[in-house]
Amino acid sequence: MQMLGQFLAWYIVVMLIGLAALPLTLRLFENLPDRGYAFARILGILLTGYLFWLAYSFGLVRFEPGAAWLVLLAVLGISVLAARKQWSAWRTARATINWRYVLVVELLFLLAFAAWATVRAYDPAANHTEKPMDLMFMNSIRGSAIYPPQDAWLSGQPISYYYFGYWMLTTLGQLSGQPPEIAYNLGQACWYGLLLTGSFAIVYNLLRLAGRRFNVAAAGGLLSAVMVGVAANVQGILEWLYAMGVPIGPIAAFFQVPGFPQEAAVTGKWYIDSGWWWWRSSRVIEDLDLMGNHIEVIDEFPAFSYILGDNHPHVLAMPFVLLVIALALNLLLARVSRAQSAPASGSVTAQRAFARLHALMPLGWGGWLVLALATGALLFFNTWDYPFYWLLIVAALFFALLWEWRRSGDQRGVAWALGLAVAAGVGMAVAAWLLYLPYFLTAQSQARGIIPNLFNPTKLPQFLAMFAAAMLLMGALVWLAWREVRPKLVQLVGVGAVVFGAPILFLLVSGFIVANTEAGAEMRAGMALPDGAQGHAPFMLERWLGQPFTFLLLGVLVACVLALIWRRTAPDVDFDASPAARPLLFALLMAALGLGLVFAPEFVFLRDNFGSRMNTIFKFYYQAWLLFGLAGAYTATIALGGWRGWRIGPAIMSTIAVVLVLASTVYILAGAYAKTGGLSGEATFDATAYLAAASPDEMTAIQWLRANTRPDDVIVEAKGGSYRVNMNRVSSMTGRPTLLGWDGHESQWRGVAYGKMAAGRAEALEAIYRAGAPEQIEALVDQWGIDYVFVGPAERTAYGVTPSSEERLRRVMDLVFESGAVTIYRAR
Amino acid sequence: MSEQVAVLETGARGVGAQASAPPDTQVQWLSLEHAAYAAVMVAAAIMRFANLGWAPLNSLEAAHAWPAWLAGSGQHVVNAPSRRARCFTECNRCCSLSGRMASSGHGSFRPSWACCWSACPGSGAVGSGGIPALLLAVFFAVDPWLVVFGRTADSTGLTLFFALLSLTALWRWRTATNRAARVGWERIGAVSLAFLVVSGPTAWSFIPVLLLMFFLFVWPITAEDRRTGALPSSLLWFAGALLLGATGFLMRPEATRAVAGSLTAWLEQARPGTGMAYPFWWPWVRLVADQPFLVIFGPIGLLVLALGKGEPRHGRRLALFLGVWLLWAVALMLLPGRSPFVLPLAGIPLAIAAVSVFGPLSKLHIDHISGLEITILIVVTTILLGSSAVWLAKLVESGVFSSEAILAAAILLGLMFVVWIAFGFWAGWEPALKLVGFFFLAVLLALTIHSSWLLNQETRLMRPSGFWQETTLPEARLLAQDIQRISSMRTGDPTQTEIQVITPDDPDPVLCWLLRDFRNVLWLRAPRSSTVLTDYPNDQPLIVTGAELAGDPVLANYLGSNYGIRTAWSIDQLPALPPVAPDQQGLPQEELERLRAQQAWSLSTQPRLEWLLYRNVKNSPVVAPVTLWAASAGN
Repeated sequence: MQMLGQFLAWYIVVMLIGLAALPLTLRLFENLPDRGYAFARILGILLTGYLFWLAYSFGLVRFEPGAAWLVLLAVLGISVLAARKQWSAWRTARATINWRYVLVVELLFLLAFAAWATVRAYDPAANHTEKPMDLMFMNSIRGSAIYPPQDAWLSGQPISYYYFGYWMLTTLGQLSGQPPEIAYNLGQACWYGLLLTGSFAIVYNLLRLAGRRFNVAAAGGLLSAVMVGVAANVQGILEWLYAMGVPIGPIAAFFQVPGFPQEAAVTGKWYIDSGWWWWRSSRVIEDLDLMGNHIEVIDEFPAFSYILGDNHPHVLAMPFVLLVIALALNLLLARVSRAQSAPASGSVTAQRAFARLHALMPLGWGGWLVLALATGALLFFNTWDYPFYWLLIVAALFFALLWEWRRSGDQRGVAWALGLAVAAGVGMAVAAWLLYLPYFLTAQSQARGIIPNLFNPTKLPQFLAMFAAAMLLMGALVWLAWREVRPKLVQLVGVGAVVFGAPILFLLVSGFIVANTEAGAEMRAGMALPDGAQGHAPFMLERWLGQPFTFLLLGVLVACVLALIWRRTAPDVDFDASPAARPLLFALLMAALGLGLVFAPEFVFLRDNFGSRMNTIFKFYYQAWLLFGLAGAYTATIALGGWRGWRIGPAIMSTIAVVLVLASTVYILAGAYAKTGGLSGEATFDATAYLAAASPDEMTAIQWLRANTRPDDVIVEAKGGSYRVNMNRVSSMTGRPTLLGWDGHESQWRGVAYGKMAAGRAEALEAIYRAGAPEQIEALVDQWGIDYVFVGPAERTAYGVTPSSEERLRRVMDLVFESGAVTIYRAR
Repeated sequence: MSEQVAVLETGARGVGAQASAPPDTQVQWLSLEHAAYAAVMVAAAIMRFANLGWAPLNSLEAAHAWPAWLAGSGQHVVNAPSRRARCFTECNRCCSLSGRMASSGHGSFRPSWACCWSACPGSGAVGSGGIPALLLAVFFAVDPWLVVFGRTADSTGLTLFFALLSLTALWRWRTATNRAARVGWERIGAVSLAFLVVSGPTAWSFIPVLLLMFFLFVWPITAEDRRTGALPSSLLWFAGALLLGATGFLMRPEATRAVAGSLTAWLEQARPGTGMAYPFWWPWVRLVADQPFLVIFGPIGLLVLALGKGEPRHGRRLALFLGVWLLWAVALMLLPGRSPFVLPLAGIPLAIAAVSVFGPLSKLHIDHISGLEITILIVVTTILLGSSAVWLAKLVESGVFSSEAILAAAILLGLMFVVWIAFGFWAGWEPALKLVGFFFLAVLLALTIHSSWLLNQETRLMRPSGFWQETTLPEARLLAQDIQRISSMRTGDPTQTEIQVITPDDPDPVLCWLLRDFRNVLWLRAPRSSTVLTDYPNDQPLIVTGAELAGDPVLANYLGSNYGIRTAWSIDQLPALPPVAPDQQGLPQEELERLRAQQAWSLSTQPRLEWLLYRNVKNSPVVAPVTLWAASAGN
C-alpha cells in the first residue's frame, strides 16, 4: 500500500504539472498536429524546475516543498496568461485535441511508468556502479536550503557538475512528498515514461504531417518509442541466441565484440542468467593502444541505461532533448500570415529581421524565450548535448526563414536566411548563457580541447553490431529522399569532397605534427610504442588502411544526406506542394545530425581525464541512437507503406531493420528480469533500504544523523574512491558534506581546479583517523569546520581504527552515538 | 429590495437601508447601531487585553518572539532557533518593535496582536446586514478561539484579520454600486490579500476559501461589471504590499523566503509525525467544549440557508459557499497534522451560518404579544432551565452517580419544552419561534462567553484548557529572577554572570526568552564532557539543564534547584476506566456490572464532565522542570 501511495503521489504530481503547462504547450506548439500535448508534462517539469532553481539561486526561496508548490502555481499562472487569447477559440474548436491520441499518450506513459516502477521496486538499491554518486547529488540538493547546492563529497564547495537532472528529480520529490531515496527510483521510472511518450509524439507528428492516418501515425510513433527506449543493439540479440544454444559462432566472429562468445554461457534460460551478461552490449566497440591492449569504449543506449539504473545526466536529459527536437520541428513548420510577412522588396534591416523572427514563433518573443530556455537547459542537463541540438534548431530556423521569404515572393536566397538563422542561434546561445548564469558561475569543466583519433578507426563489424538497424534505415531514408528530390552532381561531389577531404586532411596534418614535431611530443609520450617499432606514423597508416570501412560508410551516408539537404534549399523546391516534404526534410536533418555524431569520433575526440575516445563515443553515440530511432521509425513507417516499383528497396531494408529492432526487445525484458533477480525479494522504492540488512549499525547511525544533525553539518568519513560503494555512505544518503568523498570523480568534475580545492584533505583524514594527536585533531576540526566524525566499518578498515586509537577522538570530542561498530563524535 | 447594512460602512448605507423609516427613527437607529458596535469593540478589547501578561510566553510564542527580539536588538546567537520561526517578517518587526517598547514584560509581544484583532469584529460581517451583522460582530468579539489567537503572540491573529478583511473586500467589490467604490474595495482587497499571503502558514488555509468566494460570487457577474474595476493597478498594489510585507518594509530582503516557508509549514500538516500531534477527535471535543452556540445554531443556519429561507438575494449560493468552506475545514481536521490553527477555519463559517438564522427570525412579528406575557415566559423558562442546570451541576460535582438528579433535570427540561409548546399554541408559532430563538441565543452566547473566559482567563495548573499542548507556568519567571539575584551577588550586575544552558536538542525557545536579558549565555548540546570554560577562572558558570541531565557526571560538584517551566496536558490525559481489578473478578455478574458502572461514572465520565463544564482536573498535570545548578561552596 505504501508503495502504491508513493507511486500515485508521484503520478498525480506529474499530471498536475502537465495540466498546469498544458495551455502554454497548446499555444506554443500550434504548428504540430498534436499541438504538443505529449510534451506538456516535459515542458511543465522544465518550467517548474527552472523557475524554482532561478528563485533559489537568487535567494528568494529555500529548497522546500512550499517553494516548489508556489513555483508550480506560478507556472500555472504563466501558462494561463500565455494562452488567454486562445480560450474562446479553443472553446469553439471541437477538434483542438484528438481524444484518441490523448488516450494513447496517457496509456503509454502510465504503462511505461508503472512497468519501470515495478522493475525499480525489485532492484532499488543504490549500492553499485555510480548510484551512490547520483544519490549524493540528490541529497546534497535537498539538504542545501540556500544557493548554491553544496557538494557533499567536498565540504565547503558547491556542486561542480551538470546537476539539473538531479534538481528535477529532487524537486518532483519535494512536490510529491518523497525523500531522495524514493525519488531516485520513482523518478527514473517516470523519466522512462517521458522518454517513450516524447519519442512517440515526434514521429506521430511527422507522420500526420506526411498525410498518414491516425492508426498509421500511431503505429509509427510506437515503433519510434520501441526503437529509442526498448530496443537494443545487435549484440543484445546475439547474447540471447547464444544462451539458447543457437550456433551463431560465425556471426559472433564477424562482429568481433570483445569477450563474446568466450565469456558468455549457454544457459537455455530465456533471461540468460542472473549475471551482468547485458553489460557487454554497451561495450561492443573496442579500441586498442599501440601495444594492442584493450581500451574501454562505452556505447550505451537507453535500454541498457535503464537496466543499469543509474540516474546519470545523459539519461535524465533525454526527455528534454526530445522537447527541443519537438520545438525544432514546430519551428520548421512555422508559417507567417501574409499580414505579418515583411514586404518582398527592400533591404533586410535589423528591424525587419526581428519582426520576421517574432512572427515565426507562436507567442512571439515569449516563444523564443521558451526555446532559449529549453535548449539552454541542455547545457545544464548534459552539456555535451547542447551544440548538437543548437545546430538542429538553427537548421530548422534556416529553412523556416528561407521558405517564408520565398512564400512572400522574396528571392533573397540562402545566404540571408543562413545569416539570420545563425545570428538568431547566437542570440539564443547568449540568452541561454544568461538564463543559466548562476550555474556557470559555480561550474568547472574537465574538457580541454580536442584530440585527433589517429590510431583507432572503428571496426565496421563492431559499428554494425551497434547500429546495423539504424544504418539500414538511414540507407532507406536516403533512397526515399533521393527519389523525391535528387541532388545535383556538383552538390554531391562538393559535399563529398568536404566530408572526406576535411577529416583526412586533418588526420594527415595531425599525424605529421604528432609524429615529427615537438608540439606533438606530449601526445607521443602518452602512446607507448612496442619494442622494435620505428615510429607512430606506420601504426597510423596500418590501422587506417586496415579498417577504413566505417569511415567510408559513414562518409558516404553523411555526404548523401547533406547533399539532399542542400538540394532542398534550391528555389525550385516547393515545400507546400507535398505534405510529406517538410517532415521528410526534418527526418533528413535528424539523420544528418545523427550520422555526424557517429562520424566525428572517427577522426576526433574530446580531451578529458580519460585520454581516450571512451567518453566522446559514449555521449555522441547516445544522442545518435535517439536521432536514428526517430528518423528511422519515420522512414520505416513511410517505406513499409509502399512496395511497388523502386519503393521495394527501402521497404526491404526497413523490414530487415524492424525485424532486428523487434527481435532486440528481448534484451530489455531478459535484462530487467536478470537484474531484478527474477522480480524476487522484497519490493521497495527506497534506494537505501538494502543497508538495513547489509549493515544495520550504519543504517541506524544514518537515521540518527538525519534526525539529529543539520543539513549543513560537516560529517567526516573516510576518503572514498571511485565506485567504492561501501564508502561515503553517510554523505551519499544524508547529503551532509564530508571532507573528501570519491576523489576520482571530484577530479573529473573539477579538472585543474581540483588540486587546489582538495589540498590537505586526505592528510587531515589520515591525522583524524589514524595517527594525529588530540591537539592536532582539535586544530583540524577547527580548520575544516568539522561538526561530527563518523567511525564505521569503512573507516576502521581504511585507517585501522581501533578502540584504543579512538581514545584520541574521545579526548577532544563528545561521543554522541554508538551502535555496534559505529560511533559518532561531535565537536565541542 | 432590502439592502444589506455593511458593518464597516456607515452613513450612506445605513440611510439607504432604512429609506422608508421616518427621519427621527432613522437617526436614532444609526446612533444605536454605532453605539452597539462601539460596545462590541470595547468588549473585544476587554476580552483580549484582560490579564494579557499573566502567563509567560509559551513555546509557540517564544519561538517567534526570541528571534524577533534578537533581530530587533541587533544580536545574533549561533544556535538560536530562528529556523523555527515561521512568521513573516512584518510579524517579527511588530514583535521586535513592541518588544523594545516593553522589553521586561513577558506579555510584551501580545498587545500587537490584541490591537489588530480588536478591530476585527467590525470587518467580520460579510454582508449579513442588520441584526445578523451585529450578532456576528458580537460573536467575533467573544468567540473563544478568536480571542485565544488575539491574545497569542503568533501570526494567526493577523491571518484571521486579513482573511476576513479580504472576504469583506471581495463582497463589497461585488455589491458596490459605482466605480469609485469598486476600485476602492479592489485595492483594499489587493493589499489585504498580499498581507494575508505573508502573514503565516494559516493563511494558506484561507486562500482556497477566497478562491471559492471569487468563483461563486464574483466570477458569475457579467464581464461588463468586472471591467469597472481597476485590475492592473490593483495588481500593482498587491505586488507592492506583498513585497513590503515579505521584506519587512524592505529591511530584510532575504525574508521573502518566509512566504514559501509558510507554505511548507502548512503542507506539513498533511504528514504524520510533524509538528503538533493532536488526536483525531480533538477538534470535535473543542467544538463541543468551547462553542455551544455554533454547535446548535451553526447547522440550523446552514439548513435555513440551504432551504432558501435566508436573505433572498443570496439564494442558496451562500449555503453552498459556507458548506464547501466547512468541508474544507473538516478535511484539514482529518489530516494527521491537525492543530488549533484549523479551528477558526471551521468556526467562522459556522458563525456566519448561525447568525443567518436571526435575520429571518428578527422579521417575525410579535406585536400582538404583550410585554407581560413575554416576561413571564422568559422568567419561567429561565427558572426551569436554571434549575435543571443546578441539578446537573450537582450531579457532576458529586462523585456518585445519582439517577434522581438526572431524572429531575430531565423533568425540568421537559417542562420547559412543554411551556414553549403551550406558548406556541397560545400565541402563535411565529412569536414562539422568535422568542425561543433569541432566548437560546442569549443563553448560548452566555455559555460561549463563559467558555471564552475559561479558555483565556482561567487556565491554571489544575484548570488546564487543553488548547495548547504546552503551557508555560508563571513560576518560570522565578528562574530569571533568581539568576539575577545570584549575578548581582557575584558581579554586581544582574545580567553579567555566565550561564550555560545544556539541552539535548536545539535551545528551548521558552528558556531563550526567559534568559534573553542576560549577556553571557552559552547554549550547549548534551551530552557534554566538560562544561567549565577556562575563560572564567574565578566563578564557575551557572548551569541550566533539563531534568534528564540531573545525574550527569559533569554536574557532580554542583547544587541544583528546580523550577517548573511548563506543563503539558491534553484531553486524553483525563482518566480512563481501569481494567477489572483481580479482587473484583470473583464477584457475581450483576454486582460486578453495578460496580463497573459506578467506577465508570466516578473514574471516567464524571472527570470528563467536570472538565467540560469547569475545566477542573483532579490529577495535577505533569510539570516539566529545569534545574539551575550553581557550584557548591567547596568548588
